[in-house]
Amino acid sequence: MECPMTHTSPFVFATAQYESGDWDSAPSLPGNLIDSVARYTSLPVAPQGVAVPLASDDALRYPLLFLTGHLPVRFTQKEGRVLQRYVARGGLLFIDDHNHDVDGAFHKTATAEIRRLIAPLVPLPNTHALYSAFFTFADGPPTTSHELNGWGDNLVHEQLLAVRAEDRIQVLYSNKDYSSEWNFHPDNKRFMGVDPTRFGVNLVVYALTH
Amino acid sequence: MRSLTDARDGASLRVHFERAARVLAFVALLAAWWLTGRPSASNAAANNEAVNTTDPARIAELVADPSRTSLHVNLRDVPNATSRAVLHAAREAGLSVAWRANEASPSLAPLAVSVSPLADPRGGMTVRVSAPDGSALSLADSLGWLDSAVVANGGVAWPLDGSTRELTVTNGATVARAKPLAISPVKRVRLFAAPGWEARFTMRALEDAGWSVDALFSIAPRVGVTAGEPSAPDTSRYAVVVALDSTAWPSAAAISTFVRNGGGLVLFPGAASGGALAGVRAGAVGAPSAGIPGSLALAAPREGLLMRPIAALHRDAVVLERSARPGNPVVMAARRVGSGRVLQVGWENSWEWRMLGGDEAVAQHRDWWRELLHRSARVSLVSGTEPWPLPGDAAPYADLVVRLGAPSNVLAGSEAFTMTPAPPSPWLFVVAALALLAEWWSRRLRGAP
Repeated sequence: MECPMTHTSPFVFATAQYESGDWDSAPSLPGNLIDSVARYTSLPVAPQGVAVPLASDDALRYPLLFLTGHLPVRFTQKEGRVLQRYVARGGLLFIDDHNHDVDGAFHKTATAEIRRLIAPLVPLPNTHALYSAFFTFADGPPTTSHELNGWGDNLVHEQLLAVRAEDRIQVLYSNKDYSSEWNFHPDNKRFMGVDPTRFGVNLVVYALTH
Repeated sequence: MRSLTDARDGASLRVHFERAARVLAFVALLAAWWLTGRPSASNAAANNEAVNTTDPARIAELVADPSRTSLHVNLRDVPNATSRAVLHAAREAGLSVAWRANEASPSLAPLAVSVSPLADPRGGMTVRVSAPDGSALSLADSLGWLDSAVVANGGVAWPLDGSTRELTVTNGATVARAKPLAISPVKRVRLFAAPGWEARFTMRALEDAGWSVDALFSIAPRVGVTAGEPSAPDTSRYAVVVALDSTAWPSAAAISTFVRNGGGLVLFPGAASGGALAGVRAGAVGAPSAGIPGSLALAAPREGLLMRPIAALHRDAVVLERSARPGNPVVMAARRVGSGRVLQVGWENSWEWRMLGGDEAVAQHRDWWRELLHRSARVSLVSGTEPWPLPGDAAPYADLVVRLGAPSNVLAGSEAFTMTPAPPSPWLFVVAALALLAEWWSRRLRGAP
């Protein structure tokens, strides 16, 4: 007797835990992003995100990982090895600087760690497929209200940074503080003129289709 | 005047003469008949001796000798294509040609090689050689030596990268040559899949293997994301369709037509289940079985994947792989549908192998996908290409037997080696004729009837 088909496994939003910093500095972000993916797309998505230790091989079960924080980042040896394997095998690591400060501790240490473990980050062209994966962002990464809020470097960063293999993004790095922008209370979403998480939907769709 | 006694003596002498002439004629005819049924030792010694040579020039010289009626060659090794063709032509022209292995090398080395082009954007071929177990084979191309191997289980297979070129395989002194058939470039795959990790890593593996992937991912109602330039399956554009899940069902009719027209199809459980592609699949989809924990990094990594075995195989399906799980369920099977090939796979979520497997998992996953497409993708031969350097060069020993027959077991140098009897000497007929004429003349002179 033939079995009915199983459905595609739902997408699970995963946040990377690392030992050196405040990895959980944007606790509402996963829920808001999951909500947007479910609202805008027909992609099957798990209603709850997960936090996965970067020092564990379990991180390899989540080919899209989100990493944020304010504090200096120093990956342990085990975290470094997993991260190298993760990227070499095709995972996509999205790092957001919660300080939005190019002179801040997180930015300096995180970019140094990525350079040490993987490769230097370079600007990602604003014409990259990421910006048209679902919504179209003709000018590149959308700006955030937190870029000019008086904290951080008070700069509008025109481009994201990335490590790429051919045209595929392996590591995506943002100074735009999406961690704050997407970390709103869910009840406040109805007051927003433009949903700021739309770029997050692009990121998820890009990861699942490229 | 001659007396009566003299006359009687003369008649008696004539009678004796006539009897002698008749006996002589009879003996001459008998000798001619005997010589006809017996090989001519002197002729064999002079022209038809067993010859130890495989030198093409020497063979051509021997065959060209007009006085030769037969030829037996003791072969040290398999003659080349030119010599085989010369001997075959001589045999067809009436010369009796036989051969045996030289006593110094009592068994010539059988050897056959075939070269199959791969359905791979980066080219490549599979060289399969058949030879007796224990034979030491050497593989070379026009640039030099490539590899060597000792034969076990009747043959050796070499996967080779690169483009079409002539290959030479040597077994002792026997040399076989072959060149793969030229094929049109194969590049594109049409992928039917829902957006997800399996789709992402399938595309990665195929693109890493050199394929261009066309896909349309449905993200939301009336919103899709494309990879490449997807269009309906058509053999003019695609070599193979990969169907991962039920997103292939709406295109089932086009996919079936594509296969029947010669295209390849790789079916995964999500696509093979249900009835949409039941007409082309190798079998039904069985109950799921979870992966064996910890297997992804071990020697049989696919055992760590979710499996949905292929059940109720179609009568013309061929099993290509079985799982090691209890009952050895079928996890890969193939069948021909029209001019195309369908490969059905029972594994699911192969991306977990790539992400969670051992140190070589990325390459293993990519090579596994390459192999799936090698087995299924359509290849188009380019017409007008010459498959072999010379006819028979791919299997010289077999060609020798086909052209000249099986080896002769008669010892070299013996008289029996001359396979065609020598014609009787014409002088025997002349003697017989003269003797009978003399008898007739004598009888007429003496007035006898």
